[in-house]
Amino acid sequence: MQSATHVHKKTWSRQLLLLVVLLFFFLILDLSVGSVSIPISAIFDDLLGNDIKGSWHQILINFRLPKTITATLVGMGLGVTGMHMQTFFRNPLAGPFVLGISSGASLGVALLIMAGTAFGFAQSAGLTALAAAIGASAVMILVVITAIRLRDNMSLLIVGLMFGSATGAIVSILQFFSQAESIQSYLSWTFGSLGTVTWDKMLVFFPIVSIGLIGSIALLKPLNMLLLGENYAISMGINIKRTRLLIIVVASLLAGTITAFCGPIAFIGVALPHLTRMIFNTSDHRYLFPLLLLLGAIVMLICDLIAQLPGSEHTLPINAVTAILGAPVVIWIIISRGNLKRFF
Amino acid sequence: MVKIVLHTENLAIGYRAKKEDKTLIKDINISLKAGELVCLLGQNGVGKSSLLRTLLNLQPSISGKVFLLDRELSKYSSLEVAKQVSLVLTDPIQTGNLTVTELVALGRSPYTAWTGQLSTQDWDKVGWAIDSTKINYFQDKRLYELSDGQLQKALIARAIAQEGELIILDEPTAHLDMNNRVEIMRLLKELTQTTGKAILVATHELQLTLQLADQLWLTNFNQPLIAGAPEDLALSGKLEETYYHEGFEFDIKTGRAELPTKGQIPIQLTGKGDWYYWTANALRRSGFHLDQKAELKISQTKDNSWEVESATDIKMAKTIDELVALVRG
Repeated sequence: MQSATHVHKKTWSRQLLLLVVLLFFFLILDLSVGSVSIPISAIFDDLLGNDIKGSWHQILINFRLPKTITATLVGMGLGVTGMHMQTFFRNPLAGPFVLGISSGASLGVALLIMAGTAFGFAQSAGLTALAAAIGASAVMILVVITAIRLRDNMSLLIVGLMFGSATGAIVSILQFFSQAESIQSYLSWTFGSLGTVTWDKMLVFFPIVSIGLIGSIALLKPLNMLLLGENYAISMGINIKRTRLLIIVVASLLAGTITAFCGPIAFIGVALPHLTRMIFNTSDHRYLFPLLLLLGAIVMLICDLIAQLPGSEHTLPINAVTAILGAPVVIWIIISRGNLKRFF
Repeated sequence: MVKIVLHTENLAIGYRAKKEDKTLIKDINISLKAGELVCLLGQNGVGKSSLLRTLLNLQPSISGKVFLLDRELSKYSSLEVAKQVSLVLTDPIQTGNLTVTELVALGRSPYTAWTGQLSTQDWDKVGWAIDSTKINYFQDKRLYELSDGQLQKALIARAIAQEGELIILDEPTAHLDMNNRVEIMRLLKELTQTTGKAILVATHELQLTLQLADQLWLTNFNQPLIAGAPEDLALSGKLEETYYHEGFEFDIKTGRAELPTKGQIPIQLTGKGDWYYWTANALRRSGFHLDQKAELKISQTKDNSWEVESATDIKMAKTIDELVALVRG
C-alpha cells in the first residue's frame, strides 16, 4: 500500500517536473511575444547581463517582465482560490466569481473610482487593492454567514448569484451618477488587464498574492479532511472555525487583490481546479496544490500570449481570452472524460 | 472489570431554542463497555440522530452529563474526541476521485502533523484497518467505482483507522441489499471481538440486532431510553412496545409484520409446510381469508400443485400465479 503511494509519488514528481519545464518555456515565450517581437536569444543575453538593443531592454524590464510575473501570479492565485471554494462548499460550480467575491471586489473598486473621485480621493494602487479586498471580504463574509444558516449548496449558490446581481445593480447606479472619465476608467478595469501592474504596484501585488499562496499551504490538510464533508471533518478533529476564517482570508486576499489590479478575470478560478483534477487524476490537495500552481501559471501565460495577438499592434482584453479559450477546452475535457463529478 | 467507554448521567437530549427547549429523550442513563456491539433502535424522528450527535459533543444536551472514559465530554477538545471516537455518517460522500486507501488514510488525520504526512506507523494502522474490514481486494479502486456496500465498508475501515475506543455508526445499512446488510452487521460484530472497540449503531435492522447485539437501546416518543440485553427486552415486552404500531402487528421473533387481512372471501386450504405457508400468503394478499367451512377449497396435490374445488368443478393450477387467476375467476 505504501508502495502504491510510492509509485503515485514518483509519477507525481515527473508530472511536476514536466510542468516546471513547460512553465519555463512559456515564461520565456511570453517575454518574447508582443507588439514588438524580441528574439529569445536576446532575452537570454539580457538575463546574462550582455548588452542588447536599448529599446528591447527597456521593454523587457519595464513592460514584459512585470506583465509575465503578473500573469503567473494571477493564474496561481485564481486557481488556488477556486480550489478552496470548491472543496469548502463541496460544490463543483463554486469559484471566486460565482459566489460573488469578485462582484464584491468590483463594487469596492467602483465605489473608489466613481464615488471616490466625486469626493476627491486620490487614486493609488494600494487604495484600489484595499477597496477591492474590502469589497471581496464583505461579500465573502455574507456568503459564509448564509452558508452556515443554509447548509445547502444549491441555495448557497443562488444566494451568491443574488449577491452578484445586487452588487452589479449598485455599480450601475454609481455609473448612472458618474462622469464619463470615471465610467471609462471603471469599464477598462472590468475588461481585465495583466499590464496594469507596474513595478511600483508590484511592490503591493507580489507580497499580498504570495502571502495568500503561502497561507494556502496550511489549508491543505484541512481541505483534505473537508473532502468527506464538514461533519466527517469535525469528527476527525478539524478546527472548523479557524479553517473557515483562514479560507475566507486567503480567498479574499487572493481573489480580491487580483481582481483589484487585473480586473474581474472570469472562468480561470472555476475551471483550473477541474482541469488539474482531471488531467492528473487526483483529489488529494497536497498533490493537487503544486500541480495547480504550475498549471494555473502556464494557462494564464498562454492566455496572455493569445491576447497579444502576435504580429499585430492590438491586444485583446484578457477577460475575453480566458473565457473564449477556456470554455471550449473545459467542455471538451468534460465530454472526453465522461463525468466531471467522478474527478471532483 | 470491563472498561466503560462511555456513560451518561440523567442525560436529556433535544433541541435548544430561544423560547423553549424541545426535549426529545430524557432520563438517559446508559453505559457502553469496550468490546460491545450496542444497537440503538427506534422509529424515525424519535431522536436517535440527536442522541448520537449529543454523545459526540456536536449538539448541546438539554441537561445531564456525558462521560467519555472517565472525563466529562464537554471538557474534551474536538481533537481529543477525534482520537477516541470515530464516525460513519449517513451524509453522502461527494468525493469520487479518492482511492479507498486514501479514504482510509484520512482516518489518521487526528494524528498527523499540519502537513498531513503519514508516518510508517500511520500506514501500518491504515493497513490494519483495511485488513480487519477485509477490503483489500478493492483498496486501489476509486470511490466512484464502488458499490454502496463496498463504500460503507471503506467508511468503516476509515473509522477503524482513526483508532479510539468507540465507533458510532448512523444507519450504516440504509440503501443496502439484504446480503450487504447482513455482511455489514456481521462485520461490526466481528470488529468488536477482534479490536475490542465499543461499537454503537443506530439502525432499523431489528432481526439482525436481535441476533448480534450485546445491548439494545430502545427509544420511544416521550419515554425514557431503555437499555438491556435483547432477550431481556423481548421477554419483558419492551421490544414489542417500541415496535407497536396501530393497524398491524409485528412478530418480533420473525420480524414479520402481520398485516390485517382485508379479504372478505372465505376459502378453505389444506396442505403442509412451506406449500401451505406461501399459498396462505398469496391468498391473503389476493383478498381471501382462510375458513375451513368455505365452499371454495384448495388442496395440495402429490406433486405440490394446487387443486381448486368449487361447487361446480375441479381445476388444477401449476403455479401460484395460475392459482390466484383461477380463484379470482
